[in-house]
Parts: sequence; C-alpha cells; structure tokens
Amino acid sequence: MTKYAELHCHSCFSLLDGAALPEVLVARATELGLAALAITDHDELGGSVRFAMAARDAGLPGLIGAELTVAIHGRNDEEPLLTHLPLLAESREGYANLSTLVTIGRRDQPRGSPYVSLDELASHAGGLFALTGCPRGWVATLAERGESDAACEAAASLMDIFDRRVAIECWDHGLPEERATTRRLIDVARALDIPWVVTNDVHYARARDRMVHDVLCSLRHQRPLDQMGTRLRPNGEWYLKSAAQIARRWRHAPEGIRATLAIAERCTFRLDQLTPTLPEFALPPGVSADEYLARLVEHGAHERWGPPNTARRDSTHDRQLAHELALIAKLGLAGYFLIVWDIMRFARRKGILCQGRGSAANSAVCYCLGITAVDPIRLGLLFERFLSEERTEAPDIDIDFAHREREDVLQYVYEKYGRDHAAMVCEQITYRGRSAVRDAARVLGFSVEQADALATLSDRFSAKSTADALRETGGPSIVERAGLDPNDRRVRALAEVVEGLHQIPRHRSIHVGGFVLTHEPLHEIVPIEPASMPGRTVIQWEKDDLDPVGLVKIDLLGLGILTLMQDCMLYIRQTRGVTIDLALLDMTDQSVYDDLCAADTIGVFQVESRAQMNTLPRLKPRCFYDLVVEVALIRPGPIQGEMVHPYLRRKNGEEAVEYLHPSLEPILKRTLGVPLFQEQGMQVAIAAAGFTPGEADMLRKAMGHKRSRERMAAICQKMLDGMAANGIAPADAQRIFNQINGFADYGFPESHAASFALLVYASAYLKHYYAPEFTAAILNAQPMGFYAPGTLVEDARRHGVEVRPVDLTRSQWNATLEKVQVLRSAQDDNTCHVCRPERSEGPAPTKSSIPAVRLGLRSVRGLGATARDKLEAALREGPFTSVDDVVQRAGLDRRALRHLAEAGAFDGFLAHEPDLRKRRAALWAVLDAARGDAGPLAPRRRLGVDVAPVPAMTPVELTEADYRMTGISLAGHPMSHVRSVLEPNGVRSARDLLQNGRDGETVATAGLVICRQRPGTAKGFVFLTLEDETGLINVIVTPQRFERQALLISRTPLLLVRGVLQVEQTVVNVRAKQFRALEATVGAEFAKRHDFH
Amino acid sequence: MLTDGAQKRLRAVSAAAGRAGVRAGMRPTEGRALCADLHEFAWDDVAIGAAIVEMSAALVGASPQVTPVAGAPGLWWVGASGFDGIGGERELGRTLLRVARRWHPRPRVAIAGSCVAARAATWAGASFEQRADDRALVHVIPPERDAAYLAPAPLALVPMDEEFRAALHALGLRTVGALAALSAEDVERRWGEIGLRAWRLANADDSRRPVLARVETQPAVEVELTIPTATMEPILFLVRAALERLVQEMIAHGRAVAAVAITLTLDDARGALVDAPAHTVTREARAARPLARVLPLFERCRALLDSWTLDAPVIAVRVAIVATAPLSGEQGDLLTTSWRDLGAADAALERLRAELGTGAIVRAQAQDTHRPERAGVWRDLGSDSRTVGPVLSLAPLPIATAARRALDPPEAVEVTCDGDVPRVVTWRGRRIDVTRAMGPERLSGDWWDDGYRRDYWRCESLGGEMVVFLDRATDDWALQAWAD
Repeated sequence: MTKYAELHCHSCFSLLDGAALPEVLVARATELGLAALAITDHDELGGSVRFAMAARDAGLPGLIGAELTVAIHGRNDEEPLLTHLPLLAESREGYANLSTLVTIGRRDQPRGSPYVSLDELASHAGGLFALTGCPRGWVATLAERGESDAACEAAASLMDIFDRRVAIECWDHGLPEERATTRRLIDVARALDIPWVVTNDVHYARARDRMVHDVLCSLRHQRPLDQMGTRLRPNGEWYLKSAAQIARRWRHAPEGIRATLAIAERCTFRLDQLTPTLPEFALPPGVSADEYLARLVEHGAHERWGPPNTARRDSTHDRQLAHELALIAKLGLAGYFLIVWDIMRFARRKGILCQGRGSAANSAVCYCLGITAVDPIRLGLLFERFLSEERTEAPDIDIDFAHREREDVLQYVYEKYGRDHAAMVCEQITYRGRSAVRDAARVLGFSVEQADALATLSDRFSAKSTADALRETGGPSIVERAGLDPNDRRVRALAEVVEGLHQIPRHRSIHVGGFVLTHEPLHEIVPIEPASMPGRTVIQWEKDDLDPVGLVKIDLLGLGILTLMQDCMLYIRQTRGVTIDLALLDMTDQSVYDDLCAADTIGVFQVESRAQMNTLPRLKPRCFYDLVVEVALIRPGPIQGEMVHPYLRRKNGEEAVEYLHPSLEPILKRTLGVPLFQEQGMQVAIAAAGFTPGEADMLRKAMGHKRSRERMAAICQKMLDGMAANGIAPADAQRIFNQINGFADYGFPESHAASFALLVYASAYLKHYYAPEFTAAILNAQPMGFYAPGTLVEDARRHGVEVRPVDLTRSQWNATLEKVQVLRSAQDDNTCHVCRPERSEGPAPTKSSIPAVRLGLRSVRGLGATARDKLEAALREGPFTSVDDVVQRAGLDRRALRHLAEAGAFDGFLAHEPDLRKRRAALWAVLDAARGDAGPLAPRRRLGVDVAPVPAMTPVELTEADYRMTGISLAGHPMSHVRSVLEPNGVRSARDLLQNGRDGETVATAGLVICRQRPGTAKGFVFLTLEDETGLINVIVTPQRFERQALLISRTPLLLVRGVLQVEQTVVNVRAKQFRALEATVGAEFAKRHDFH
Repeated sequence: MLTDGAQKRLRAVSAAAGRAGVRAGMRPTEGRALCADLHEFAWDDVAIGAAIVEMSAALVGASPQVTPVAGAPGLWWVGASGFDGIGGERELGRTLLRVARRWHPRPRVAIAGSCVAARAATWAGASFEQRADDRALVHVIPPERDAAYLAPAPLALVPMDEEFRAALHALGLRTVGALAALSAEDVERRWGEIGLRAWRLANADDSRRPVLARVETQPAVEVELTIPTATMEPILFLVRAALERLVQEMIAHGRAVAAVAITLTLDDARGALVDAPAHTVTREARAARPLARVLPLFERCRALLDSWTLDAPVIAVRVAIVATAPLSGEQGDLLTTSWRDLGAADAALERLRAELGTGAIVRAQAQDTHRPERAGVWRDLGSDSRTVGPVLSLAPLPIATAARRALDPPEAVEVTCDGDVPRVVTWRGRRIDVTRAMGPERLSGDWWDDGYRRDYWRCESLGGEMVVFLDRATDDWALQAWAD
C-alpha cells in the first residue's frame, strides 16, 4: 500500500487562509492513515503546540514547520518579489532558526506583511529542510512564467543556502496550468539532481470545509462572496487527501510520493524537545538561590507572624514553610519565586499597590515573600493545589497591580531581562457566536442590518451553538425573526459557515498580563512579534500552549481597585494622618459587615454588581470566610451548577445540610455540602468517581481551559462511570456531575476567592470609614467598576459625603479633598484658593475634620489629554484668579472653555452673580475673553462689570447642564424634578419601596436607567437598575416582556415601570409588567450607564 | 428615507418616518431602530438635480424670479413683488402650490419681506404658538413685520454656525428674538462676522433675494403650410428650423431647453365648421436633461413625430419651449475630442429604443469569475436589469483557433470515455471522434448560490475543437463551446 506524508499543510493559524483547527487536521490525517503531517502556516508557529500535542496523542509524526514569506530583490530598485517558502525543522537547531526567522520577519517589517530576505534566510538555515513552495514560491513563479533557466538558478540558490536540503514541490489540484508548471518543476529537479516531492498545499481538512475557506478569503479581501470572482480558488481540492488519492493522481511518477516519506523521516524535531529555563536571578556572592529564598522567607515570616514559637507563629507555620521550601528546592523553582519577588519589590519601591492572587495564595512561601496577602495557614488552604511533585506543569502566579501604573512594571520586566528573553503571551481571539454570524452574513451578501439582527438574536456563546440555533425549526426561528427566508440557499449556507468558523482564530491580541521569561533567547523557543500596543512584544503562543513546552508564565495584571485603594490610602494619610496597612486590617469589624449585609456596596470590589447586591442580604456575611464564599458564589459556574440557592437556604437554616454521598462530607463540609470552589470539584472527583490525582488535575485544567466545554464533555462519561462503580445512584451522579460541570463556565479556586475577598473587605472598610477619600479615589480611578461617576457621587452624598462642584479656583485635574473650614473661609471673603489635599494633624477623625470632595476638572466632558496637559501646566504656576487668567494661561480652545463654563467651573469667579445665573454669565464672559483682541475694527472690550444679557437657569436646566457636561449633578437628581408630578400619580421612590414595600403588591416606580443586564446564565431575563434621588430600584423583566418592548427598555433613559413587588428578606425587586418612557428634559440622556456588558 | 452613499447618513426622510422619530443626519441603522420597516433609497444627485431643474422651470410660469436654494433641495426663493394686479400675493401662493403639488403632496408657501422670515413661515404658518397640524399652506407675513414674526421662532430656523448655535443654547437664548435683542457689539465681540451674520438674519435683515428668470413668455415659432401635408418630412424640416431659432434665443437668455411642445393643426372636418376652433394636437418632447443644443433636441422631436400617426393633413405647425432651466456649465463643444455629447448619444439611443423596444440596447461587460458561461454579461444601458450573454471565453483553456461559439445554455451531449478521458462525443445525433482530449480542469464553486461542480475537457476532433464538461453533481455531459 502506498504511504504518503503531507508536508505542506496550513491550519487556521494561517489567519484567514486556513480553515481547519490543528487538532482537526491531525485527526483527519490519522483517519486517512497518513505517514506524517507537517504544519506550515504562513510566517507563523502559533498553532504548533496544539498541533504537536494532538499529533503526539494520536501517535502521528507531526512535523513542525512554517511557510515563510521571502523577499527576492531584483537587479534594479524595483519592489521585491514576495515568495512563499515552506521550511521544516529537522532538528532543535532548525526549530530555533525557524522561530528566529519568523521573529525577524515580523519584527523588522510593517505589521501584517512579514518577510525575510535571502541573506537572513542564509544566516539561519541550519537544521531546516526547504520545499520550493506553492505556485507563489520563487522557483514555481519562474517556472510558471516559462523561465526555466531562471527557475533552475533560483533552485540552485536555495540549494546553496540549505546545503542541498531542498526539494522541488509539485501539486495538482485539477488545473491545467498547474500541470504545465509541475512538468517544468520536475525538469528543474532532474536537472539539479535534487528530489521533487508531492504535496497538496492543504488549506482545510475535508472537501466540505472549502466553503469556510472561501468565506475566510472573502473576509481577507473585505468583499462579499459574490464579488470575489477569481480571487477564490477555482475548486475545492485543497483538502487533506489520502495516500490512495495522491497515488492515483501521481501514478506515473511515484518517486514524488516516496520522497515525502524520506523527508518526513529526516525531520525528527518534536516540540517536547524544547526545554526552556528561567533567567538566572542575580544572587549575593556565595549564596544559592534556595538559600537566598529561604532567607527572604524567614524574614517575611517574621514580619507576618513574628518570631518562631509564639502565639502567632507555632510549629505548624514553620513545618509548612519547611515543606514548601523543600519542594521548591527539589523542583528547582527557587529562581522563579525570586523573580516574582523581585517584580513585587520593584512595584512596592515605586509605591504601586500589588497583590498576588490565584493558586499562589495557597502558598505560605508566597505569603511570607509578600506576593500574596492571604494567610493560607489560617484559612487552611491546600498548598498542593499550587505546587506538588505530581503536577507536571509550572506553578502559576498571578499578580495584580494598580492598573494605572502597571505599564511601569511591564517595562521594568522588559528592561531587566531584555526583549530577547521576555515577552508577553498572546491571546488568539477566536470566532464566537455573534462574530461568526456577523462575518458570515456579511460575506454571504446580507445587509449590515440583517447581519446585526442575526447577531443580536444569536446571543450564543459558541459559533457551534449559534449554528444550531440558526437551524432550529418549530416556532419562529432566528432567521425568520431576522426577516430572512429559511428556505433561501444562502440562509441555509449561513448555518454551515457559522459552524465551520467555530473556534477559528480571527485575530491575535495580548493576554491580559501573561509574561514569559527565558534564560536562552526566547525567539529560539517561540516567535516574538511587536504587539499593536507600543512598547509591547508578544509571543505567538497563548497561555494554554505554555505548559506543554515547559514555559513558565507570570501574570502581571492590572486591577482598578488597587489603584483606587492606593489613592485612597494616600488621601487618608494626607488628610487625616492615618496610615493604613492592608495586611493589618481588623477583618472582624462588624460595622463593615453591616454595610455588606445591607448591600450598601456601590463601589466595593466584586460585590457591587446587581447580582451580588441581591445575594448579600441573603448570605449575611459576618466573617471573612463568608466573603470568600460570596465572591465564589456569584459566578457563572456555581450559578449554572444551581448551587446558589441551596447554599443560601442552608446558610439561613431553611434547608438541612445533606451530602449526595457520604464520601463528600469531609470535602464539602465548610461550604454546607455545596461545591463552590475548583479544589472541591477535584476532591469530589477523587472521592466520588475514583479519579486519580492526575485525572483530577486534568479535570481542573479542563475547568480552567477556555475550550473547556468540549474537554468537560469528554470527562463526563468517565465521571459518571466512576460514580456508578462507587455505588452512587445515577440521578445523584448526574447532579454531582452537573455541579462540577458548572465550573466549566468559570468557577473560582478557593485561594483566588480568598485573595479577592480580602480586597472586598478592604474596599468596604475604606468606604465605611473614609467615604470622602474613597469617593475621590474612585472618581480618579475611572473608568473602572460597575457604576458611572454620577451614581457614585449620588451614593456618596447619600452617605453624607459633601461633594463640591468643579471650580477653576479650586479644582485640580483629579478630584481632591478639601477641609470643610477652607470652603467656609473662601465663601466668606470670596477669595479663591486652590485647595490641595493637606495633611491634617490630630488623632481620630471628628465630624468637622471630615473632608469634602472637590470634583476634578477631569469630570468635564470633552477635555482630552491635551487639555489636561495645558491645565496641569497652568495650575503648576499657581491658582487661577479670574476668567481672563484662565483663558490666557490655560490656552484652551473655545470649545473646551465653553464646556468648562457650562459645567460651572467658572462660577467661582462670579461671586456677584446669583447662583442660577452664574454659568451663563460666566460663559458670556468666557466667550468675550476667548475672542481677545479681534482686530483694529472690532469693538473694544469694555472695562468693568459687563452685565450679561442672559436669563438665569432653572433648576431643571442646571441639572440638565450638569449631566450633559459632567454626568454628575449636585443641583439635584433628574428624578427630583419630576417627583412632584409622579408622586400624586402613585409613582413611588426607591426609598419608599425599600422601607414600606410589601411583597406581592402592585407598584409603580420610575428612575434613571443606570444598568441593563442580560447575563448568559439568566435564560433571557433582563435586569434593570433604576436610580432616583433616594436610591436604586431593581427591576426584573421576563424574556417575553422584553421581546415585546425591547426597544423601549433598551433605549429609554428615564423609565416608568409598573409591576409586582418582590420582597425577600431585605431584597426588593420589581417584577415588571408595563413600561413607559418618561419624557423630561433633565439631562437623563447624557447619563452614562452600564448596558449589556 | 434617502441616504447619502458616501457618509451613510440619512439626508431626507418622509413625513411618516419623521413621525417615528427618524431624522436627517442619523445613520440608517439608527433610523431602523426607530422604525423597522424603513425603506432606504440612495441619494441621487443627478436625479434630484434634474427634478430641481424641472420644478424651477415649472415655477417660472408663476413668477419670473425663481431660485432653487443651494444646499437645500426642495426649497425655492420665488419673487413675489408686482402681483397686485393679478390677484396679489395670496393668488401667487396658491399658484405656486398648484405647481408644486406635482412633486409633493403637501407643499408650503410663505410670503415675507425677507427670505429668512419666509422660510420660517413655511414651517410655522401664522405663528410659532400654533400646533403643527394647524399650519396654513400659504402664509403671508405683513410688510415690515418680519422681525416681530421671527422673534418667538426657535433658533433652528435661522441659518448659523453650529458652534454659535450651541453657545447661544448654552446661554439660554433659545429664540430668534433673544438673539436679535443682543447688541451687535456684544455679538461681534464674541463671535465676529459669523455671529453678526446670524444676528442680522435674526433681525430679518436678509440680503438673499430670488434671481430674475429671463424667460417670461413661452417662446414659440408658428408656421402655416401653404399646402397641407400628410407626411412628417416637411414638418421635421420646419421643426428643425424652429428649434435652431429657439435654442439660439434661449442661449441668449442663459437658459437651456427642458421641454419642447409641438402643436399640429389638422385640416379635418372639425376645423371646417363655422366659428369652430381649429383641430390641434399638442405633444411634448422632453430631453433627459435640459439642453442648449439643437441636434439632441431635434432627435427627441423626430422620435416623437415618427411615432405620431396623422389622422388628417397638417396645415400649421407650432414649436414652443414650455420648460427651461438655467444654462448648465456642463454644455460642451462637439468638436472638442475630450468632450462627449452625452445628450446626442442619449438621443440616438432613444431613437433606437423607440424602434426596437426598451431593453434593446445593451453593452458587453466582462465578469471576474471561474465559471465560463458567466465570464461575460450583457448589461442594459437604460436600467440595472441584466441578461446573461453567451460565453466570451474559457479563460484557463485558451484556444488558438480563430472563432469560438458558445452555447448558452450548454447543450447535453453523450460522451463515451476511455477511463475518465472522452473519446467520442455525440451531439445533436452527430458522432464526433475525439482525436485528443486535454483535461480535466476541475471547476467548482458558487456554493452559496447555484453551486456547480464540473470537470472540463478540451477535445480536439477533425472538425474542430470542443469544450465539454462532466457535471459531477448529475453525472451528465454537456457541450459548452466549440471552435471550427
């Protein structure tokens, strides 16, 4: 039987030119019985790990290669000819050269058009085997033109470069012009006495995948299929063919097929031969990494727990540290911990707040090094979840930094280790339901509106389930609702195409914070390329690709709440002289928990969302571990696993704590029999289904993997079988599996939840005791969190914080804090002061020493970075003293000045004007001053007081102007202006509903819509949050009701809702029945809102 | 709604769309979000320009001063002075409404001492306190009352710079009167000339005026024939001569001809009765666009007369220019090679259409496709409709022979093969031995439309060369083309 190895094969990592996932290609090659398969993506090794792992698992020889773009320069200065050249790695050296060449091509050329020169190729040709490529290859191009001599010369040049490790590549896709070319190519091979080899230049796995390839080509050319013409390939022959098919075509010349086998045998390099190591950490002379780490840990332990054998530090602590250090030494990971410690040290030196999270929080060593802030011994966290001998992959440390300063940390890492040894991890953005249907509809010729409608209706996570939804029959289908004919051929094709796009990469992005560091040049391990963001370089692999090759990732992430807390603590120090150490916070302060139980959590990390706020009064957190549970509970995993309500019922004593199987009790005891954390999922699998620790670890990986749905499905049967063997009834087994399976949609590890819970408590603490500083900090950290500045300010004012308007006599760019007394004196004598945060003397805060928040100039819309620079520069010279002073020194354009005037920033200069006239009078003066000396014939500016002929604003106009210009109104909430009309009509306020509402009564209420959500886990339910002058109102909309009034609900800024009140303990919701738009010119349309995020 | 293709913004919306909240300036998707069943039409400058010219010409019948407002299609300034003797301004307004109803179901006319006030009044009628549906279709503002009338009007009705308008709004100045009440000095100090210009308009000080249209009467040439004629040839001769004179006259007035009316007086029994008016028949010829050249106009007239069946001999001919338009700057010189007389070409093509029927004039156009029978299409010159033409070429299989005949659609043939290779083709009962077969060329595609999967073969025979294909979907053979 003929054997054949396919040596030229593109996966979907040849972006928009390959239509098959690497795993699919491997599976198909195995099915066809190919002798070997090579992956040769265009200037790309992004799919190589997935390909290599799939090939290894399938037992198929998987050759690693890439089709490079090579620039051939002519004799004159004409544009170089860009040709294709597939290269296969014969050895480790060859792979390093291949990776380096891809790096050079991407690094030195404009983004999107990589290529290398022949000289660069020659410098890195060792260990590589070259094929002459497709019809766009150098030799083939010349042969196609009939220039046989030139083709011979080109082939000879390649022979020189690769030291005869070259084969002439021939193909036949049923096209006469190809046949003519291959005849000439074979002549070239014979003339030069080098082998010629058959390939099929594969671009997809099966013939039917051609349609996906056509669609990708259309997307590449940015035109619909109807207009593609000959840009599409003339037929669908570029698929993976069997040896028999190839042999039939090439029966007259079998040597070309035999040559494939010979080449495949030469290329023995496999990715598992890569053994990257971490950079060496610079150590003090004569000290080993293990010793140095132990020294640092001991120092940290002393700081955290005090000296050994004391109340805070007993033998348990030291035993744990010794155990961890021994394991770290055994695994040779001391350098890794030192590198992470060094990064944290840099951040702390720069005053950048940072904290480790994830499974690292299970480690006492990390805690003592200051990498994490959660004491794993106190919480009883399992170190083996972080690091163990059985685990095959490297430990994973995620560190959050204050997001504003994170770039400083990234650049420090680049600088310290060099760009040849450090780079960020990429993220392949793949097609999902909406993007697939939108792109497919576009190229199939549907209108943009139809594509939008389909995308909106196809609210599915994966392209595959979207395709299923498109095929749905019975009842009005998506396509019918989008106004399409389901019998139309294109509509039918749409579902096929969308399914074909499932998980196909669309473009490459940067991972949120993953960094890899290597001792050897990183570009010899994986290609590096510049990212779209200046100053960043990324590797071509994403996070899931790192473990199989032994690359260690450090996640350096940005977290807004840390910026907020960093600023907040700074302000507290400056205004009250109080220094807060997060590590020493009293975690049992019941007044903080009172706020949390009352869901008074706007601005508080993680628990400010509507769902969290609904859960807090039911869960009633009273200790730190309750917060750990709260953080983990409202996640898609536990929600889909239907664990939320059982836990809450059990917590409140409404339901007995039961275990589906006695073996689960020790595992689930502290979460009342309900699995909430990933670790518990692993332990349940071991106890109930008889998984080995290794299998449980695989389960954990599947849970955290972005393609986890498929992986979890594969594990399902194994778990069910295991539980059946342990005597668990099928129904219970299915329930247990469903709970575990829920984690596939994101569940938290316990340590991670604990790290976040710490931030929850800390932010709630700061908000409770230092509300003004917290308010200023959160306004300055924008954009972040769930709520717009307007809502944050309304909330702060409800908490008694005095918020003062933007004022050019006092405001800085950012929000600042002012002592109350300062404002009084300023008002008295009408003098203008710029009040910077000051350090106040004295002990505990008293009512009079509580500072007020002065809104910053950043609140004014339309002031960009340029305006910021100008204003800050002017303010550095001293405070503004008059309208003219602002106009002259700030150098802002008229538009920016107008915005400032409309926002009331000039009001401070017009003490003589009535409050309601100030803004317009200021604008009148600003326009005059901004025009300046308009020329010799223009009227001269009048000296003295110029009475502006403008009317005073009404209170409604004032609110409208506030919302239009800043999104924040201190003059009154929009709803306060319509309350007098609403109240007599029975429309009730948020406070009234909360305090006096009865379960089941029909109510009418109204408010500014600040949030609209339709979570994927809510089965189509829509949740609205309305805000009025007294608080927030939660509204629940059923899918049917939403469908009927989707436009009104989705777009109206002020909404009147009639519905039934649901009161459960202190949680109040309105189940909506009717909606009306409130027409009122109060600036509501300018309010920022959190819509369907 | 009409959308501007370049910016993809709505440029105009119907009243019904307006009631649904759709506004000019929105994106089409925004419009659709408010009104799902909106119909979208592309903005066509040529068609709208032509309509403006046509309506301008029609309005000239009511007033000698007619000026379409630049940048505001659908708005005309019309001179309204000097109508006291013929019914006054209201009568003029009613006349204008009558003319305008040809283009719009509910046109509005306002008469004022200034353009700015007149335009405002078309929107608001008698006053700005009125409800929109109470608007009178003709409203006259008394003399010297323009400024007072405008005072309560919203600022949107006075043309001004957007930034200026936004500043006024922020200052709480919402009406034209509030702007007018500012001192000129204050306005100039803050907004310079831009502000002053708007301020003047707010005070009804508007320098814009309708321009005098020079054609006050229908120019016409009338000829009585000494001998009645029953054929068109003498009439054509007269029409041509009349057109030459009339067009020269129009050019002298800076006008182009939009429509020509030909009136034939027939010598039949009706005209023979005592005191009975002569029997006349009038028909109009309209060019595709206003022209100031005789030849294309004459061709249109010739087409008109050619299709005219005479019931009786003609004894008199009258040629009149019934619609004109300002002379366009696009007029060209036939002797200049760079200039193409599109009008003349139109006229010639019109004649052909008149003779052969609509859709008779097509042009060939190459198509970028792998599919042979779609390599070329015929496109109708007069519309977007298209007809698939015969195969122009089978690009990947160049055939050296001089001529190729394409079959449209391909015809079924019987093919006897040796393995995959065709050896004998039987076509229309005739057996053709294949001496050499080259192929296959495998073509497939259009899966989203009417997909095809074919293997093409080029077959040489003693009689010439054939291109046959095996349809792999049906396993049938067909002859695509042959060369002899």
